Amino acid sequence: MQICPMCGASQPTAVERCDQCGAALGPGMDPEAGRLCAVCGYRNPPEVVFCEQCGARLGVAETPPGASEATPPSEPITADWVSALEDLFREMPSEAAPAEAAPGGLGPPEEPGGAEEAGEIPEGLRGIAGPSESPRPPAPEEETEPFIFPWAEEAAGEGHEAPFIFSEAAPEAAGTGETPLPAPFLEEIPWPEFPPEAAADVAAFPEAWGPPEAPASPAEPAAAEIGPFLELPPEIEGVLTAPEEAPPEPWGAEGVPLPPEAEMAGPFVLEEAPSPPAAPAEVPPFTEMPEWLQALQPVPEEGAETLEAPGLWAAPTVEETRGPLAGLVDVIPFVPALVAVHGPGARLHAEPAPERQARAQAWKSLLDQGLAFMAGERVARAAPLGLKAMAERWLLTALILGVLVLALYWPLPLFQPTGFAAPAAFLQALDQVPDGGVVLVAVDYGPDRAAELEGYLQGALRRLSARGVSLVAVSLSPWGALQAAQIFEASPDYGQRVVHLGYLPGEEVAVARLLSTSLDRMPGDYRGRSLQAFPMAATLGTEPLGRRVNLVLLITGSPEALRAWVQQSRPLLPREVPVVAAVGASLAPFVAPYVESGQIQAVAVGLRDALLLEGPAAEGSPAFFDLQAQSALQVLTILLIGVGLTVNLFQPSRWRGGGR
Amino acid sequence: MSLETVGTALGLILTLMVFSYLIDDTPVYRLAASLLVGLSLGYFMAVVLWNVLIPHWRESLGAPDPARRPWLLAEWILGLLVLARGLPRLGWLGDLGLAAALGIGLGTAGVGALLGTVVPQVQAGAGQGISLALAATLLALLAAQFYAPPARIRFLAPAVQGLQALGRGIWAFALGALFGGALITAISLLIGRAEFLIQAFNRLGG
Repeated sequence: MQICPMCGASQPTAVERCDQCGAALGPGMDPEAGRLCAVCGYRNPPEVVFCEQCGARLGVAETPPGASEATPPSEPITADWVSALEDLFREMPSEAAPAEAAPGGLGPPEEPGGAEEAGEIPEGLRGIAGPSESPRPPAPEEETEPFIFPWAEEAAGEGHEAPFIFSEAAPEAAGTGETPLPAPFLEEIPWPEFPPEAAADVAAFPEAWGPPEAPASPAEPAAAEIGPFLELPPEIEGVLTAPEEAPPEPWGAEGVPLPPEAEMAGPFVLEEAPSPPAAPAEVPPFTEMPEWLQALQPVPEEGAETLEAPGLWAAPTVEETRGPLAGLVDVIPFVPALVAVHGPGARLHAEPAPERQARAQAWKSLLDQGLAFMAGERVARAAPLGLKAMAERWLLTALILGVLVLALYWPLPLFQPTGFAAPAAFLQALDQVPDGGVVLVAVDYGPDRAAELEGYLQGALRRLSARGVSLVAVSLSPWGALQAAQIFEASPDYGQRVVHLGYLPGEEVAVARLLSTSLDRMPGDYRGRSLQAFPMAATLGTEPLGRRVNLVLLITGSPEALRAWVQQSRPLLPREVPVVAAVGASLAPFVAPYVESGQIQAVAVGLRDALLLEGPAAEGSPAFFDLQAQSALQVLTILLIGVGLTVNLFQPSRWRGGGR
Repeated sequence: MSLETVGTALGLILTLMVFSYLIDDTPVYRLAASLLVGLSLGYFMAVVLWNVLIPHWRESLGAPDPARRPWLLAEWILGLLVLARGLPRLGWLGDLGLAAALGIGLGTAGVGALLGTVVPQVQAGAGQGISLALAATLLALLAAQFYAPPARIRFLAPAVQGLQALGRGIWAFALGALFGGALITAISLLIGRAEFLIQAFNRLGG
């Protein structure tokens, strides 16, 4: 595992980029590099001045001249109030090296430059950090008198009436680059003696604070390590120096309650208190504690004594003085000044992942839509038609329908059906099949082409069955199988001279497989009935179908089916066996090359040839009116296209400007 | 009311629903289109089940030729392997079935196109020299700007432009022929539907 230097998230060692914040990871990335924001706790890159999370100005040490060598700027951050509190509560992502923080979380770091980059004291802590807000003393020179805090002098003057609660003021002072004061200086300070009544209270300290000791001598090294100016009261000294002797259990552990003094004192506080240990009520209220820290505060066990620290996390009582809420207390919750949570604390709040939010939004949109999808995608529609365009549409529709109905029921004076010739080559190929022969009929059109091609199937069935020709129908598409079933099932010769094999899967090999297989090996007809049960099975014998058929008739509206049949059937069929095709009018350009190459002997195209299979259409017959309607609609379409082109030619701006 | 009459009435209603598209993209048109798609899919599945899978299963169990049984078994295995595509961990097994299907299909289609279309067409056009279709295709490709005359033969630019104009004309002629064929088919289908409507009204009304 590795720690992200930017956000502090734990990442696997193999990854190169943090999945939380996107920062680059790797062996060269120091998790302690960067500058911690004292307000939100976000670890910023070393070169930035303002926090990238909350915009607060990052702490800049007032380094005196000549002190840069002693405190290199790249010194990792070793102590600040965030890292100290993080050590108190382990569930928070660690942003400071635990090894550098003193056990217990309040021990000052030993690195001299550690506090240099600790930054400013957050707003919430300034209320209790009065002494630290005072201007820092200048670096003492050898000739000048050693600096002594005024309150220290006052305390010395009044004897032993001003004991102190000491906290992490030492690294703050050390962070300024000041040279640690020598021991003789400490000896010159008139240190107050520890009051005996306070010493008695020390016995009541929990064990976690360490064993009470006698007041230390001002010249003891332990005091000099913690702070150059002050002598620690013995009970606090025991806390701070205890880890070196016997590491106590961390606060917050089971059975070790958190001392209220430590909770309220904060890491930077050097504060005057009435008597050691100071009463919590005397500590200035900690009213602006960050919200994410409040979430981390230990919850007292049930039945245990509640920590009396009203100023720490209890909001001030607010009484309404006007309006309908006058006289009520705490009706509107107190909103601290530091509301927006940034940095590691913000990530403690559980939020749904973006992909889950997107999925939920999609579901919501789908549920809101209801059955509106049936109304169509209105947004995808082009510009709405105006009244004129709508009238044009209705006029054209009425014109086409009118001509259609007129041509279907009334003979038009200019229409002469004698000009239409029957597909002679196609009919000749059908008639050349010997009596008793076998014709393979490929039905590859669906209901959408039935009006155009169904006449071929019915006409061929009538024409061939009348001469005793057997027909074997098959289809490369399920829709063609359905059309053939409707026609062939109604034939009285089904099973005698007509059989329908149904749908053949595998378009690319189906025809070749069919022609190379004998009928007795086929599974059955389109309903699964055994072919051997039909009398027609004796007619076909056991030869492969390709050697038994006398004609292959293709009735198709699909160019793919046309190609499949021509490409696969021609090599397997004897040369004398013709292949004829009846195709839709739209397939005429596709079938023409095969007719030119001789692969297809004859072709019939469209509804016109289908209507002429039985010969010329007599006037007044259904075929006559169908031919008339088709001709009339074709002429009408040509006229409409011509009119449209003419209008476009003389009014080009109408179309170019209209965007249609 | 007979079943045929019910079918005619349903066909009449569905035809009118589809024709409502002439007015607008109406909900009834969409309902008819959705019904058509759903019925087509259901019919396709039924046909595949009863005309393909079940007959092949019966053939696999009772094939008279013992030498054919391993091949039938291989077909089933390859077909079932395709279903493994739905399982992420076993997707590679599904690739075997798809590879076999695609390989056989493409190989067969390629050979069929070569031997069934290209070679016969070339042989048919060989006796006539350069066929008209080949020249028209080349001109159409030139019109599609696949070729531009280099600067050093700029004097040939008018000739090339004329050739491209001729190619564009051939291209337009081919598209016009395709459009004409499609239009004739559409008119034929319209005539068929109009006759059905008239007959249906007569049958239901009388």
